[in-house]
Amino acid sequence: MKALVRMVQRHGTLSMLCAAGVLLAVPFLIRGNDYLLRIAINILLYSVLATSLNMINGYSGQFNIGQAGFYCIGAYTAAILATRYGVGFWLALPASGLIAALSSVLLGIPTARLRGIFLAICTLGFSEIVRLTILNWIEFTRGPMGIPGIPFPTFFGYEISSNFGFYFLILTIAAVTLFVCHRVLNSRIGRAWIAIREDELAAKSMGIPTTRYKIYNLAFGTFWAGAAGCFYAYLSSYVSADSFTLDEGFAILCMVLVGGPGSLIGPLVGAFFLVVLPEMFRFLAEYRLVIFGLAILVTMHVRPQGIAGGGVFAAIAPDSEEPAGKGAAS
Amino acid sequence: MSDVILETRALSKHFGGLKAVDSVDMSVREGTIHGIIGPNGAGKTTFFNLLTGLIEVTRGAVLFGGRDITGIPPERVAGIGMSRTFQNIKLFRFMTVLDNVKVGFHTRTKTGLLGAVVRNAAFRADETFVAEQGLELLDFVGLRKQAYNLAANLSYGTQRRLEIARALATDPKVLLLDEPAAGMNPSEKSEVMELIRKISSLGRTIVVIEHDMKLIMNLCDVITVLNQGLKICEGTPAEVRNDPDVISAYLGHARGA
Ligand SMILES: Nc1ncnc2c1ncn2[C@@H]1O[C@H](COP(=O)(O)OP(=O)(O)OP(=O)(O)O)[C@@H](O)[C@H]1O
Ligand SMILES: [Mg+2]
Repeated sequence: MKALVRMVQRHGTLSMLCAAGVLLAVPFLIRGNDYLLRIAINILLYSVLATSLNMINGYSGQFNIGQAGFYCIGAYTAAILATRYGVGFWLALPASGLIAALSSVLLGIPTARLRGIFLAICTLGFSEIVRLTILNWIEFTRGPMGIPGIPFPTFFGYEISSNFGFYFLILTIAAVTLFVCHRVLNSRIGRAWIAIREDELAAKSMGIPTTRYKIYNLAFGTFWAGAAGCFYAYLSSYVSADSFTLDEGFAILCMVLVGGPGSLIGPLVGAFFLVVLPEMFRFLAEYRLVIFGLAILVTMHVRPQGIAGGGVFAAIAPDSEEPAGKGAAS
Repeated sequence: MSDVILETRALSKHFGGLKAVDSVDMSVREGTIHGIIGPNGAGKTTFFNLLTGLIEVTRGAVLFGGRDITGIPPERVAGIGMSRTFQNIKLFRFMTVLDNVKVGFHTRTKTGLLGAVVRNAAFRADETFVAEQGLELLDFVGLRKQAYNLAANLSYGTQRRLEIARALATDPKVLLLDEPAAGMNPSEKSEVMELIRKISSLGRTIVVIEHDMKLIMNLCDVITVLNQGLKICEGTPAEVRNDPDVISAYLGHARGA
């Protein structure tokens, strides 16, 4: 394991190419097997969701546990746009992200001054309010009946209707998510978020308007959850408020905590483990959250910074800033 | 005589019945090194907190360059040209030394979200500027070699120097230092003294709180003495040293002057 980490650190670009190769090859290897394809799709979908939450919890230190609410808003935005207004997938995707981000701003304005557990409770409450509103606003959302009949997405005239196609769709979304997050984190905006996480007062003294940046961070993170919601709506062609309970929010949170908050790789590792583990213990299906709880306990005990947290993969998380030759020269 | 750049008028802060800062008038002239001394609990840090908007002013006014800035939000202080360090070090611990300094450049750069994603010319110019100037600042405080270490892993004295570099990154006209030599050994102390002189010689005004009398007497042009929130004396080091009020304030607190 240590050797692997060192190898990855030394050959960042090469490792990325290898990972890309594997991710592109996987669907061809399991093409006939819809069960395995679905698992692969879920890993990528939850990678996006966990990454979106990690942008908030891991980088600006705002403790949000209601990410399912924003995921839900994205899914319903897409479902309504697609079934009622005939909007296509590629327009619904950014629209879902933007509506989720906008709703996070509405939540963020009154709550940005809250910290820790108080903010956590507000986000939790928000997530439930979203779900209950959808359940009860029957004229708009059809309430408990959900919204069926979301058409398949198309790509330059081709209809994406197989798991094989959806795999590449979510792989693209995940790649874009990671790319954009990586770039934003390695800019003055990302540095401002991390500074707020480390010491909000000192960040303020450096001239960062921390309240605005915290809302900004919330909006940026929830955008990707909204986009994931859009993908989910098209994938299942049906949305219902049942899919977005607090359990779902906790599951996403577990992935971030187990994988390693504050690292770009962490949530991907967390998503992988926490999608695969319940599949391996299918007979315990009802105890999914118990498995997650155990995973958190074990992680906190063995590696409190998360499996891939604490700079294990630092060289591929933020820009590896130390040029290779320079360290040797000085 | 140079102009006054920072001035307080009857500045006061009451915590309930405690007058932590009590009607303090102080004028800092541009380009000077201005010391603030006083026994523990005299109100020195509270005074800095009032200057930088971290706590609400009870009464009185703060003027910066002749402009009333009383009650300014803390995030706007860096932008007008004032920056500080903290007595209880407040670094971004799990950021690298260089990134700590880069955060200090926040108000001097402009990149938005889109620029950061596409890495346009403006973004690249900003990042080059921040990286070059940041490394130069680390050189200036003698931390270049540790640029890529985590701030949390630095020694105590080194952390204080990093805080100074981070404050300098905002390009302040006035630099406020809250006990920059606390917890340092004699050789580190003389290094910090050199550093403060160097910063001053580049034309920045410095206000420094310090308990180390040798350092303060050697360094400062003017010294203000606070005791129990009140300004009890102000003058050159020689004047302050021989002031009977100062001597009794310090003897009363069993801290030798
Ligand atoms: N937030 C606060 N609430 C209540 N009292 C406070 C607060 N901050 C400071 N004080 C009190 O105000 C007085 C002045 O404190 P301050 O920290 O300004 O002293 P100081 O001169 O910086 O002392 P030191 O040399 O020990 O750093 C002290 O009695 C302190 O207990
Ligand atoms: Mg103090």
